[in-house]
Amino acid sequence: MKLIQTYIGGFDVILNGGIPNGHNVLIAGTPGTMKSSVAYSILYNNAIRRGTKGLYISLEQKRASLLDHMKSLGLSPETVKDKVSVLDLSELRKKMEDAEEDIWVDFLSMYTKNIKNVFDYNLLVLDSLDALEALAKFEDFRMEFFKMLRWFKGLGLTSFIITEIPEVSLPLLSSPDLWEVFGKHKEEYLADGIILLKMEKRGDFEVQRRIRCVKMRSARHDTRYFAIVFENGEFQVTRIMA
Amino acid sequence: MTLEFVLVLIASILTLVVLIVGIAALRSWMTKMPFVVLGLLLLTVNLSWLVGRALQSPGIDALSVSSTILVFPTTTILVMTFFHGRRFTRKVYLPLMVLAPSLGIILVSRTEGWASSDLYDHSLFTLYAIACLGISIGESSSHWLRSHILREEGYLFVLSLLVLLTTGLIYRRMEILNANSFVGPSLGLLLFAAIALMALLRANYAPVRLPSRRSSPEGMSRFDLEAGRIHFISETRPKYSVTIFADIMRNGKPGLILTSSSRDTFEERHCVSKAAIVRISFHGEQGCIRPSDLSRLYFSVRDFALSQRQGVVLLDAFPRIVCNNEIQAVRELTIHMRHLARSTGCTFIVPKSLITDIEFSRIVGPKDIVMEFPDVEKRTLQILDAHIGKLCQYLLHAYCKRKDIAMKDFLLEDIPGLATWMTSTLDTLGVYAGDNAVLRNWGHESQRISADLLGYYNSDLGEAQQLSVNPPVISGSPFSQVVFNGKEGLPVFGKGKVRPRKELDTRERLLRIFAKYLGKAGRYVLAKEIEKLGKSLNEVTLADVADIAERAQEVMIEFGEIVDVNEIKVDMKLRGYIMKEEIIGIMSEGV
Repeated sequence: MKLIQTYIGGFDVILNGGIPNGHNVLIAGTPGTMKSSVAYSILYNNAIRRGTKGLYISLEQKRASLLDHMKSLGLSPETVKDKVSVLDLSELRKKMEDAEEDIWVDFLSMYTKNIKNVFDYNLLVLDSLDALEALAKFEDFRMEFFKMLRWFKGLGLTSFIITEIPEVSLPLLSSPDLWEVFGKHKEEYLADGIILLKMEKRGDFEVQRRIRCVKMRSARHDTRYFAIVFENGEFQVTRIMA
Repeated sequence: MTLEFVLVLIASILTLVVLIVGIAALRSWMTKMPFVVLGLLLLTVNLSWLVGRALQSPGIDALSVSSTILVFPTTTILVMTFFHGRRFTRKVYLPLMVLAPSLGIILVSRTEGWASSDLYDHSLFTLYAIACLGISIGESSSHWLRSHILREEGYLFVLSLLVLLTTGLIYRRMEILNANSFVGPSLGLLLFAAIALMALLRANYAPVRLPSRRSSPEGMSRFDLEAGRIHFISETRPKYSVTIFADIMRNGKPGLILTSSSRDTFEERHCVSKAAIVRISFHGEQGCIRPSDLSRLYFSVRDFALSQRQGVVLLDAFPRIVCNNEIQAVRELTIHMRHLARSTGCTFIVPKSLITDIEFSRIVGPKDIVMEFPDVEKRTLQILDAHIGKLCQYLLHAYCKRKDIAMKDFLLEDIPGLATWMTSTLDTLGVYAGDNAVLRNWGHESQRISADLLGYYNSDLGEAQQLSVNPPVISGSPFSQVVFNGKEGLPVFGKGKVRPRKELDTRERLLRIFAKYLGKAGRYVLAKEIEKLGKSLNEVTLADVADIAERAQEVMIEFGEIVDVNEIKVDMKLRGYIMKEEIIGIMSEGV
């Protein structure tokens, strides 16, 4: 099975080699956990190290803002401009804000397919599912989400869908029986994998970012929490010291 | 001079008149000959009867008896020849079996000294006459009922039947109005005259509209066809056959088309307005022939072939004929056509699409010519694909839309127009791309496409030519590398079964095009653009189409601008351009 490596130091070992090609993976996390940065870094590192093309679809953040943010992290989007494309739908969002119908999934379908035809990308990041939900006004979210995942699979893509978890849900995550709160509409059942990012308070002042692979079909992964740090332009995962 | 004598005299004069008029009026020699034979025979019967009475001559009376006896086998043989003329057993043995006894009866009539007045009193003659009558009715009635046709052969059949019935056999016994004068040949002749006149008056009834003969052939056809032969055209769609036909017609030959397409559409689309067109249809419209009515179909072709020798006949509806008849019947029809082609020098063009190999092996004759042609659309797409990749489908579709034709109807004749259009379109698209390198590449590419297309069009259409126009695949084409290296196929047009197009109004057509390019968002985008024109979606008219087309292109370009990869921007511009072309196509459809 072909695996897509995340190039997050240590995390691919946790995933037993990487993410199986063609999987739809939810990157879930509370605000400020660097979900977008993690997702972009996966595209960035795959483009640099393996030449794999990727498409980043932003529904909230403008392209310039996103790229500036990545530069501030020490990444160099200019070097991968032929390999990583950023589709800025936030502009379109302004023009289409009065649309009553659920046209956004069709837009996504059109763009993903047309771009696939001329820019043969294999990795896709959708940032974010919550923005899409707000835009699209889905009547049956689960069904629409399921269709969207099937569409991505049909195009042969490995997709990363960013979704936000409210802070209030965090206490529930400590209980293994209640992990379904990763998605508001139980979309975790539909995804092939879930990567959870969260902030953990340490002492009175410190906060530590943590990462956990909650679910990854066809992979013998480690389900424990790990600390994630960003140093020298790279994400690293370490064991949590007691 | 008795009343009977006067009547027979008048009938004889009438017969002579009818014969002269008939010879002048009947167009087909196949009908004219038996008509003359039958008429002359009846004239002989009547005249010999008159002369025999007038001169009291036993020799003349014997001639009258003999000719009366010969009326029966002759009529029967004519009927048989007409309806089963191509079958060897019918042609030779049965006529002999019918004719031989008459010679014996004539011999008996001479040895026993039968007089013309008491001919019908002899049981031997009566039996023989009834046998002839039975054979004639049996031979022709099944065919008659099947063909549902009352044309020249039909008249001949009716005439023959009436002659057999009225040459004294029945009327002699009936003694109409107790007058002995209304007997025998005289009454038969009157009926003959009435029926023949009716036949003459309606002889020109035919669904075939005959074209006027052209003065002199000019130029040479690009297709090397052999006169007097059937040419089966092997093609995936009936296009080359039409092209060949139109080409021959342009060179001055008269033509007949049997097609299931609408007459107007066919004439307009294929520029064959001077051809006679017979519509093959199940709907039973006026002037149409059902595909199962092979007799009528054959007669139409025969009428044309006999009157327009060296003409060309296109059996465009042949696949439909094959699908709606037993293969044996189609085989017989083909045999008839083959004889007709040979005897008249007409060239038959028959598309062999939809016919299986087994069926074809039963239909084709050793002297028939089978011509292999590739699909024009397919070959054109191959040429375009070699240059511009998968966009070829889009562009050909856009061109067809602009010309308001289906892609399946794309003909060889359309290639020069396509070449010109392709050059200007690619040049325009190059300008839209806004990149000098792309513009230069596309400019070169458009010239190469045009050259290849025109080379294909101008080359001879032999087998060698088909190989020579196989387009070289330009693997290093910067155009296809830059823009069309995607794995996903673009939507395919012109495939599948052709369905009759539903009449759509402008709004629906616009919605369909927008939905094709933008999915559900298409409706929203269209509504927004129409709103900018100060109208609602329901108020859109044909007059707004040009504006909407422009706006659609701009919208697609805007959609492309939000992507940061240049190739995608260019691709969206292309799509916008093609979308605009499709929308403009609505205007020509509307007109």
